[in-house]
Amino acid sequence: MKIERTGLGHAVRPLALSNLAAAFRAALLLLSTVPAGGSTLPEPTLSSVFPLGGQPGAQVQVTIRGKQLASPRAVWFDSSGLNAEIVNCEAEGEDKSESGVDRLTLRVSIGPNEKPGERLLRVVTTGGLSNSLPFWVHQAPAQMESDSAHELPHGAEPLKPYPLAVHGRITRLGEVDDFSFQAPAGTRLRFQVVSSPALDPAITLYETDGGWFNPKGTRRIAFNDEEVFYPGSSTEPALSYRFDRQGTYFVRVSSFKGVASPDHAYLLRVVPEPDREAPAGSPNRPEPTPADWEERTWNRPLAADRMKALWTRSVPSLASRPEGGSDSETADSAPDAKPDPFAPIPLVVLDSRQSAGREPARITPPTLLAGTIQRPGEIHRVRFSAAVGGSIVLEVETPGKTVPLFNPYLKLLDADGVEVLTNVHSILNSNSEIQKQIHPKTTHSFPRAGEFTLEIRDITSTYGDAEMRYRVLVRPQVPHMGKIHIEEEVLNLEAGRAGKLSVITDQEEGFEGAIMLTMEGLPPGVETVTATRTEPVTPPAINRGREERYVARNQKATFVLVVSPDAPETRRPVTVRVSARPVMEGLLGPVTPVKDLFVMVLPTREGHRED
Amino acid sequence: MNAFMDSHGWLAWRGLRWVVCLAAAVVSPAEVTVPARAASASPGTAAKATFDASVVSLHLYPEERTLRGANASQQYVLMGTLADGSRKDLTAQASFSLSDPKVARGQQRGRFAAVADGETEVVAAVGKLDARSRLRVEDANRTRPFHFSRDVLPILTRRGCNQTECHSGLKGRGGFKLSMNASHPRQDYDWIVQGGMYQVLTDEPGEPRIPRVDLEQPEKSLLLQKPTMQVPHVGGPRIDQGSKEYALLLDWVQGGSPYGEQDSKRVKVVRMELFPRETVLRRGEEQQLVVSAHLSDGSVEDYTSRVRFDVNHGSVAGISARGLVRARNGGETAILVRGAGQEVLGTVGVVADRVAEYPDLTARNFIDERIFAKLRRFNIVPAEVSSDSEFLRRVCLDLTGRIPPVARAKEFLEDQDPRKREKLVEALLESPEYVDYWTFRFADLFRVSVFVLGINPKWSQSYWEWIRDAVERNRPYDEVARERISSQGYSAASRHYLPYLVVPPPENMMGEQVRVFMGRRLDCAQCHDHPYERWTQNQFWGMTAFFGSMFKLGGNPESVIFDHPNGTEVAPDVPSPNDLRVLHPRTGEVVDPVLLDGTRVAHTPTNYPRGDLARWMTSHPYFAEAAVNRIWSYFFGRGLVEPVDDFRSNNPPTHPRLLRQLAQHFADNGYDLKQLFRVIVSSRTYQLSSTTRGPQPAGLATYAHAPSRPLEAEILLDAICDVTGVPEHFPVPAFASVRTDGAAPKGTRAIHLKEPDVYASSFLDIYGRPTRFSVPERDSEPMLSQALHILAGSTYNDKLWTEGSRVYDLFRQGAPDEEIVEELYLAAFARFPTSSESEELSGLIARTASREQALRDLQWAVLSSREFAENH
Repeated sequence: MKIERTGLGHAVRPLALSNLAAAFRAALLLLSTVPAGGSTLPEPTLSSVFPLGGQPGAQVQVTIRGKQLASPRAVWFDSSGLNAEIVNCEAEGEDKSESGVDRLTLRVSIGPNEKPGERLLRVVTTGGLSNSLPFWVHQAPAQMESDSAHELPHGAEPLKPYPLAVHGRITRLGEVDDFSFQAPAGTRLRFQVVSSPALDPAITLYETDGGWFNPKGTRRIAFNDEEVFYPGSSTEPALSYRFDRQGTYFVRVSSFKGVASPDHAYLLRVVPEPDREAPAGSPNRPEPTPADWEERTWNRPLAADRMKALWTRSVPSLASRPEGGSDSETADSAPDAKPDPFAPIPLVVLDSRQSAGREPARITPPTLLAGTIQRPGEIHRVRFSAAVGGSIVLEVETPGKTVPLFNPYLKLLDADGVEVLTNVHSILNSNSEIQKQIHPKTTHSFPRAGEFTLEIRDITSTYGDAEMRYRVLVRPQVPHMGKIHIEEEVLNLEAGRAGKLSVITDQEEGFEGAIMLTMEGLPPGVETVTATRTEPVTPPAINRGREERYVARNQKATFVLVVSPDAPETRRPVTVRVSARPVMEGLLGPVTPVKDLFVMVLPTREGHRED
Repeated sequence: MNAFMDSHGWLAWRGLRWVVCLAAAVVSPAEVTVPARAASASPGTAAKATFDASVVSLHLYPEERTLRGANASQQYVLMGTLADGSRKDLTAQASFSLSDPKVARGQQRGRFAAVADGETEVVAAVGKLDARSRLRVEDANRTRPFHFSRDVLPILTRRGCNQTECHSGLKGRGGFKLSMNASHPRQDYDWIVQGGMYQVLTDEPGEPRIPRVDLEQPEKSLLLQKPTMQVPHVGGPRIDQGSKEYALLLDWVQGGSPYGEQDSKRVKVVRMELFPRETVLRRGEEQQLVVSAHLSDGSVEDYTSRVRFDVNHGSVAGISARGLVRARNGGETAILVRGAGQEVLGTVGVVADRVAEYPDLTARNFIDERIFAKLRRFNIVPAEVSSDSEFLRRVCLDLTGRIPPVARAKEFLEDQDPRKREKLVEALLESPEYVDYWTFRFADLFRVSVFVLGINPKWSQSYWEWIRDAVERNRPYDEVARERISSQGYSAASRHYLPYLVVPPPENMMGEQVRVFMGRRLDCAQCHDHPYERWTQNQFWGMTAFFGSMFKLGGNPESVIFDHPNGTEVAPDVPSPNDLRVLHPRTGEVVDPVLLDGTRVAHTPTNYPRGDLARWMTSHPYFAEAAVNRIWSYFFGRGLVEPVDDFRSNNPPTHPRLLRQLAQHFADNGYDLKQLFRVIVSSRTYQLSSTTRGPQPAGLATYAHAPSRPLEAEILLDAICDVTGVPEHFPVPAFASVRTDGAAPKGTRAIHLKEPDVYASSFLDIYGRPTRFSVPERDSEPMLSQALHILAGSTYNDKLWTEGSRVYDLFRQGAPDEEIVEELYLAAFARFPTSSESEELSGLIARTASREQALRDLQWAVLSSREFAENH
């Protein structure tokens, strides 16, 4: 591993030279051994919160289970409308030293004006700031699950009138929680469960028509585990059901495969449709900011200002400079016809009329295409010209159904109908099996000029409906910094030691400049030096296919945070902002915020005290 | 021996005493035979009395025939109809004559050969009756040109040379290969004349190439020396040196071994017909068969002497080389007739002696008509209609997989409504238990499992939910099948294409779908033409090609199944441009999707061939036949074709017309499974008692009584839980995706378990729960471990006396012995105990020192009895 000081990163508060040398020595020593953050003190870890939330204006007694919670100082919420008072903290289990689990009891006050939705909760202890867990503010009145078993056929726990939010736990292997309720004919109710990270819940609805074997028994009428079991998708169930006849019904909350523990907490919402409350599954977060930049997700918005947005992650002054073989310089167009790179991108709406047998619409990149695959096998087509050396980017957004239910397959054909580019990346794995991945972004450079046809379809020939909507941006390449990845959210730093923070910077579309990384708002006594670790460049393996079309190049950098031995302890988390700024050909691009981190400075181990 | 063993060994010993008691008290269906009504008649006497009925009419087959060319001949069969409606071959007893003897001449036993052009009438007489057939002779003096296929191959066929076990095996035998049943004459000719070793992976003949003919010394030809044993021949002697066949083969070689005119110009056999197709004989009787070949020019020729006859069960009947069947023992056998690349199937039943007073049987629907007709033909008297308790228990088990609860059993048995059975069937079809049970059934067939250390249990769960939804909504079966075959995307139905997280080889996928939905096993044709069927290797790979462009998009668990829209990849990212093509293993050529009927299906950008395949498969008659056959097996313990997914020409259905009618009924009703179930369980055939009337021919599926079938593992376990009142616990051991232990919810029934490889149960494993790693056909053979489990296993012993168990609670409530016995009988057998059973058991309990122990033993004995452990 090569460690070098790049000089690109700097602390807002300049480092003194003498301290800098010491810090750098410390960085060299600690970089390979210190975990992220850098504290050797045991950090607090939360595993569950119960109940999972409460109503605005309510005061809720909450139990938090976790580790290293023995010396709690405060509870932190990401909303000023929630406050917590620490009631008690004790080790769990008969042999308290064995389990290592602490149980922290809080009294949480929820402000009367809090809007429904997800909040984040952390605990501050003498060991620093914990991870976060969601805490839900729900409009509906709460009902706590009773302590006694309530499982059909023996008995279900009656629900209070809806809307309501039931808080429960699955603590016993194979446990199910059954609740009974009345529904008048014609009622449509929505059932939704949100849960602690450990629980993968499912919902089942039953009616009381048991049939011949047991007329008083139950009949399953609806079930939902989750809509789609897919990486990145919620595993939390929801279903909407219309009750055609009046009667007693049952709703069951169960755990996948009957797995259970005290950390398996859930919140069951039963609300009449339409559900006017903000869906419990979506975080109550502000609008996306530049810090939320996504380059390769299916749901990033592709809008008319996309070119402008891309250039703000580059050096905009380079945008207007003419260059050979520009993408927008088509075979037919004159060199001086280069359009305004920041101009809004024109929108072309496609439909089945662009299917086979008709002349496809002609476009000039950049163009935003929008359409819907209404019927199985439907293919939409457009044509455009490209010059030798010209480059192209195909970006896809799926505003409705998305992968894996809608897999927008793009294929670029030359004038002879030969495929030159798709957004499906094929590789041979170590078992000599072909693996294919579909990508929301693909890049290409044209080795020769010509006419090209772009086909857009679902990868299957089975599906087509009004929700299979796409937006495809056909545009020239813009060298820019892509997504910047920082895994950590919290840094608990120990006085007199150094911590580290790893940053991975994606470099998109031939970006060959540098990326400056800064940290602002560090607590007193904390300084940074920046070191980068440049991974050896390995040529793409032959069986990795044309990976460069689908995957950004990236570099890894590491901040080393040096904490002075006499740095004052922070009693509350300090927000530190990481920002990035592209540098190309000696020109600086705009500063872009990347992430806000919570940093705490803790006393040295020797000075650590249980208070 | 530890205390546990002591305790259980004693219990077992005690239990055995109770078994002895129950054997006397509990009616065991398989042990009870001839009821009084059937026994009162003397079958042998009755048969003798009625069999001498006189012949009332005659029928001469064929009714009309034209003989063309020199030496053409025709076999005639005279069938007589007797007074009792039965038919008998009278060819041997008949006197034959011709109205114009110059046209033809008679040969042995009803055969006539052409003599001169003209027309005559063949007259066959028995007593005062006669039957006539018009015979026309054309070109009597014209010798037909030689052709290898017509003149040489029939000899090899008749002598069995081109059977699978001889030279039409995969690689032939002894370096000599022939096509099965002369199905590829040109290839056979080349193998004989040019020689060469057959090779599996290439069309090129392997070395050494040893011709089977020697044109310079014809008598030295291996073709002649081997079957006459002039040189050693593993297949033994096949042809006599002095026979006509030897002479014909020698002539052919001496004549330079010609092939004859090209195949394209030749008149070919397009199908063969067998008369009679179905024959019923008594022991010792004979039946002459006639095989007619329909030629491509529209003419018909007698091929009886040019084909090979084989029987499935030689113990039932034998058949001579010239098609004369001789009945041996009671039963039924198929007769397979092969020749000229064609085959036709017939059946011969050897019946019992006639019954003096055969009962009138009222058919409730077409099932009964077909079943009863055959029973009548075979002189088998069906069982009485089942008792209410028999029917109740059976139909509950067959439609819902569970024994009726005590209260419902009582209610049904006491109900006087004459339509109570129909009402019960409807109630069961609408019950939630019906949905559970048929979800379990189809989860078995469609193979819901996890397979790889539980990596993707969510897939199997969604696949299971898809099946459940289909059952609950009673989706048409063809629609469900189409979806399973053609599924793409992230759909639940497509998950079965990823059993091991990768798309399986296309030949495996094809083989399974054809087996499940068409009841055929094409697998043998993977490496060579099918040995028993007409499926060729080309057909196998043509069908396989439908699955050849399937891919998995994404890793795990985000896999999306798709058929590459290009059909093939024109600009692959990886150096394997042929990755989407199915290659023929022998020729190495790219195989295009071709349906079994030869239709070629093109891959277009907007259509994928697998979708066409699904539509074709579900509209083919095989589909409905395979489906109803499988469903039939669920109700009768065997299919009309058995094994249910092994339809073959030499594995005919026991009731071909019934199979066709059932399939038609299923198709006409929109492939409605509930309707199919309804028509089956409403039939009198289904509702017959399991107690037989009169002797039953061995090995003959007559459906004359309800078969006793062991309860399958899951059903048996649920039944034990129901009778004892103690539910089973199903733990989920930790595995890859669920890193901690789990468990099924309390009260979960065995049939509710979604995947066998997730929920642990030693009982289910011992009793044959399939893993579903392949198309599951359960093994219901009893095993020693089952007996041990009955004696000492927890399922049979630990549930007998615990809080909440049925008998324990009755005991604690102070219920008298009679009440406990009645409750137990109703719970286990869906019937009241007879008064003698009740008295005897109450007496036994009273005489046992410990009442608790007596009641434990009683339960154990009930649970281990056949009446409980079987569906009858």
